[in-house]
Amino acid sequence: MAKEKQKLSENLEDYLEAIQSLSSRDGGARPSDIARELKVKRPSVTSALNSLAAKGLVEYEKYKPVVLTKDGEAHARGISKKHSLLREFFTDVLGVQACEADLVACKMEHIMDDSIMKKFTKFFKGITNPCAGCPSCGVDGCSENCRHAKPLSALKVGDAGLILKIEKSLGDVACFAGMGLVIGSRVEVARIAPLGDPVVLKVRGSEISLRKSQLAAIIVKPV
Amino acid sequence: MKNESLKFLLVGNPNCGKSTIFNSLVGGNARVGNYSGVTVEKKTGSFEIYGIKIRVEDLPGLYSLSPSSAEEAIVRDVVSSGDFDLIVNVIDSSNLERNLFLTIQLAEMGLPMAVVLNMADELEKSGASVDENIVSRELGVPAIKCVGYKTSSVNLLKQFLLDAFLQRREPNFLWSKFRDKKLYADVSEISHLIRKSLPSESADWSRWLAIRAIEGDRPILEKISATSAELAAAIKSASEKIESDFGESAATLISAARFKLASDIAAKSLTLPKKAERQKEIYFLDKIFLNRFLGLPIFFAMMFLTFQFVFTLGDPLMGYMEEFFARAQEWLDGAWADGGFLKSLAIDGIIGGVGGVLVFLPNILMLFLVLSILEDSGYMARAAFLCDRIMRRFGLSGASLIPMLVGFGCSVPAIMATRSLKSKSERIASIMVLPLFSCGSRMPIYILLIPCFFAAEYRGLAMFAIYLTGIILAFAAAKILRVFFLKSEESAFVLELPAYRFPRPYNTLLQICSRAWAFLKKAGTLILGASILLWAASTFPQKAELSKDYEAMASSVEKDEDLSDAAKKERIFEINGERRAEIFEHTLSGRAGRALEPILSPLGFDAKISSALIGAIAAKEVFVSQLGIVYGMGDEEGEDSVPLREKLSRDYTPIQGISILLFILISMPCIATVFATYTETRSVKIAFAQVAGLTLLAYAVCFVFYNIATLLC
Repeated sequence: MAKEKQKLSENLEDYLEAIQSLSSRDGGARPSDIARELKVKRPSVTSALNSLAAKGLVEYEKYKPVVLTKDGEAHARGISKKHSLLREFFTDVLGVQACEADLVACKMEHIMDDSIMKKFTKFFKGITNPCAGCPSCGVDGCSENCRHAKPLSALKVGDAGLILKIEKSLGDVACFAGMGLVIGSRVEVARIAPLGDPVVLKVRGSEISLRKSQLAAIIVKPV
Repeated sequence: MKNESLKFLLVGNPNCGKSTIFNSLVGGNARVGNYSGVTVEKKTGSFEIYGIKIRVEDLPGLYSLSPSSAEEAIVRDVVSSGDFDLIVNVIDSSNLERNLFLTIQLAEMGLPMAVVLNMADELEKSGASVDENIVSRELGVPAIKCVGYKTSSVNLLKQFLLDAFLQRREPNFLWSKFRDKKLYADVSEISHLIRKSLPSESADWSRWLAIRAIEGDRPILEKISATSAELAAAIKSASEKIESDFGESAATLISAARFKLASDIAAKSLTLPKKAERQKEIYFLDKIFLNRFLGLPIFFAMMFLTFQFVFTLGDPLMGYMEEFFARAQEWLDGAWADGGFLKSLAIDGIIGGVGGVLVFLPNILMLFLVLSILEDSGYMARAAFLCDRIMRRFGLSGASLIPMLVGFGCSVPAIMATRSLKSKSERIASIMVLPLFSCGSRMPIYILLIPCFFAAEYRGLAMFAIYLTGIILAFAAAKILRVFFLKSEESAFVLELPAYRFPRPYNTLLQICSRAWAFLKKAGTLILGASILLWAASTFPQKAELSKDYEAMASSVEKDEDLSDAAKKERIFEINGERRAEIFEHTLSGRAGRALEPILSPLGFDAKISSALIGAIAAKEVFVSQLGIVYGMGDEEGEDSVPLREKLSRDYTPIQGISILLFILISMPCIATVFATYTETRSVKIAFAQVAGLTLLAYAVCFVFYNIATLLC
């Protein structure tokens, strides 16, 4: 992603998006499908595909389904990410109707520059609760910027949380990982020792014990 | 292939029932040793099927393949050496997801592997079930369900393992199924680079090497940077790129990704019940054992019972052992009429010395029995959990409490019991201070000395004070060791509380037998040598001519008709004592005692005490008999000998007496303890540091005490 991205016209970006969604749905994108999806004529599809192929974003041969290259896929993914984030912002924060939000997002996604997008993402994640549906969110779906995030030490007995981040101060990551302490694991504070320390955690089907001082290094989102 | 034997490795999480499977596979055929240079137990054994001999190595249980502890480093080395025919990954079916994490790490290596879904019965009891065919399909290697302690199940397992070997299937590369293509792409890129720039023999390993390298596996990174600096730089920039892209370290991401793979496989292969029954059972027991109010009292009651069991049941057995060796000495004395030095060597040196250590065998076996029950049942981890808070103040953790309690009985099994400690520096610190927990052998010395210097009403208090001083010094010393010499590892505290399980008697028995054998081997080698040396030191050089003709004196007493029989006997006894004292003074030990006098006199000790202290090196209780010899009382003198006490209270002030008691408590441990320290740590340096450290501490404490006390009084 760090590579300098080629500037594409709005039009070509739309093609990339269409090819991506078609191939994830049907396993491949034929030019005729693309034309139908974008409501354009066949000759325009052919010329657009030729120019995308020239930029190394798609593999295009006549009479064969179009396939995105690695670069093309990355590019398409970047655009659709922007699209969904913008649409979510319009519907969830501004209360815009879904179809209208989609339309505006479709335009904005092309002019949104990467660095602005990064700032926007951070701001957006801070003001909304991006944690809805979190258990299934990817490794990069939820972060310690989540406003619900707190150290595991702040949880009471019986409370549970999803691990968002494990600070380096906990020590050897790999050692704790083997016990189930990884990002995305659900932990529950099961009990506290009679003398107030250490604490028993339930994680990934087993019970492990950690000291309270170590819990501070594990950032969770209570669930 | 026919005559060669195959070698299978058993790898799995702790508490996955790996040892049970190992024991069932090889039966009494197991051998316990150590991996060279470390104190990690190496268990090997073999079984035969269709005339093919299969050697099995039971590797230490571990959660992941990263080398964070001695055990894990060993497993890693053994597995990556490639010197085996099949990896047998044992999995606790009732905790499938977590166990699969290790499986995935093993699968990454792409070596022939088979998966054993152990404890299938336990899982099914809870109403769930696992489909081994799905596990097999997902991983790409054969899988079987198993109940480790059932003979029928194990017979099937043997057949299965042989089939698995013949199929030699290499696991799927699971990462290619991973949904997060971005991370996978980075891994593939590095593996491509590795294939290009490393010699061809590494090519098969390139994907595995790539993952481990991005993860920051130090040994692998070192190897890579040794061969190609360019590649090392590329890997470094790749993992930095991952870190900046995702906002997390590459190691964290890869671990999370592995868990995702693991939970995918678990979700596909498990059929879950509506309600988890077993979970409830664990909860119920933990409610009692870890209860806020009951937890600690129950723990202390358990420890008290352990102590009682080991030492009240063990002591009569120890008595039999002692009697057995005494009989052996007597018999040899009678049977070997004219043996000279050889006879003395056999009787006093070998039987006396080795027997003196072997008498601890019953105690040690009892202790291992209790420890193995506590460990297998899952209580040991709970005990460590309960006491952690107290022990941490002194730089130790909860688990080190148990060896310390055992130490009141005998330091030797106590030092062996430190095996359960995970952190190496903590273990060494515990071993170093364990002799300060006053052991049972010191009791006779206290019983002899305390009445000499304390009035009857203070004797109990004095005894208590001695024990307490030992405990305080031990904790203080542990703290000092941890702060100045054995730092680190504080942060790595993590402890699994395994499910409560009934220990399998067969398993326990095998474990004890193999340990007993290891102990006997030690007694036959190291301790034998040391006993011979000590015997020689208190026998040679012999005095050619004694200053008086004791035999003439004895016969003149015999002839003296003015004396009664009783008086004669007493007189002869005294003459014999004098003779023995003179002979002893001439020997190496006797001379050493005199040589030590100037060094020890600031503590209030004279030559006699110094000589007796040398005897205490062999075993603490020898101090009493040695003192008897020095005082010419004959070595039959026991702790309740009145004349010896009279002489002691005549010769020494109470201040000197306390100084002697303190020195006995603190100074260098007996030879058996030193050997235990050596064999457990595999380090001459640590054993030496223990001897020197404790002796210096004893010197300092006695010096300060004696001089301040004399000034004040």
